[in-house]
Amino acid sequence: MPDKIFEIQNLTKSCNELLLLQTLLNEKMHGYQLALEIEEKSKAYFHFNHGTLYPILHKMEKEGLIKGTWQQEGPKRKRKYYAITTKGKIHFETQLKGWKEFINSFQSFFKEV
Amino acid sequence: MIKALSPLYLELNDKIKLPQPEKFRIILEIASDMEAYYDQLISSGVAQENAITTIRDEWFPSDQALQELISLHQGFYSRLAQRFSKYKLSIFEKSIISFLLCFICFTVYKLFNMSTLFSTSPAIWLQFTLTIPLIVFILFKGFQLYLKRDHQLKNLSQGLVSILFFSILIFLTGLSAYYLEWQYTLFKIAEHPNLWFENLILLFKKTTPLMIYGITCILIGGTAWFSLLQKTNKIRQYEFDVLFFQ
Repeated sequence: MPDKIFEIQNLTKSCNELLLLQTLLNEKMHGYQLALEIEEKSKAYFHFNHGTLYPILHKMEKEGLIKGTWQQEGPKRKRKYYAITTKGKIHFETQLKGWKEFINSFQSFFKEV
Repeated sequence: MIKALSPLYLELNDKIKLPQPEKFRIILEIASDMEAYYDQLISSGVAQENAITTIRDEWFPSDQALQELISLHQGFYSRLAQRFSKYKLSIFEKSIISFLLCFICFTVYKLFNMSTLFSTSPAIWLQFTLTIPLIVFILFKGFQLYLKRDHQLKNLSQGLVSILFFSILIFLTGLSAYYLEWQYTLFKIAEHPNLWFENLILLFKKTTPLMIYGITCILIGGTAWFSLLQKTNKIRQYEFDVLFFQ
């Protein structure tokens, strides 16, 4: 039996993390920008609403996968931008590998069915 | 900050039960995103009322999301406290304070030489008694602001003036006793002028600890009061920033 990189029970968490890390790979973004980008790239398949994005981002920040920094935007507005960390990049690679294995197993299971 | 979104900011402020500055940072982050969404909706021709409704329906964090955020940012004590009911928590708090008080009393008892203590003016016992509420208030405020991190505005000033009051009271008790001892000694010297030197030595022996203790208490109490006042002012400033978005 092949080693599982992530637990099936954590699929939602892992999926959210992977989407966010993938989006942050090339540039830093703020929360709303991240939600828009994911929605646009996935053709509205993945959609964050009701502030569900914030607990995920803050948890990932606590785990050291991303780093939030405050930036002045205009004379009065401050905004929190998130950037991926080295730990986040490693985590992304691992999770992506896990997802690929999961999708392959899933597809082959249904092929047999 | 966009004035039209003020009711949403205030709702966030009410719902996020976290100490400052975490609360302020979270509100600021969510508010800046809501504003970006608002700008986008307005520029695409949506009416202001509809834009606010859309933001509330789509972007404003649900109670569950806010609860998750709160538990992520709660300190160790708050997480621990959540496991206890309100009644048990109050017993838990009392136990910690009682333990600390016992520890302080024991240390003071060991530190003071008992023979010196009994040769001092009896007013020292009154000073010691007044020290108990002083310690209780300092511990209570320190515990509330730094450990429990209960930063609700209505509780901030609670007990703060009492620290200053008891410090001054301890000092004034010592000062009054000092003058009473002087008067008593002068009467004694008037009765036995040949024993003036012995009586004067006895006076210093009886009153010096009173003054030293009074000054020490006023220094400790004053420092504690000042530090706690600074902390409460800082919290108030954060609350002000959150409410008025300076």
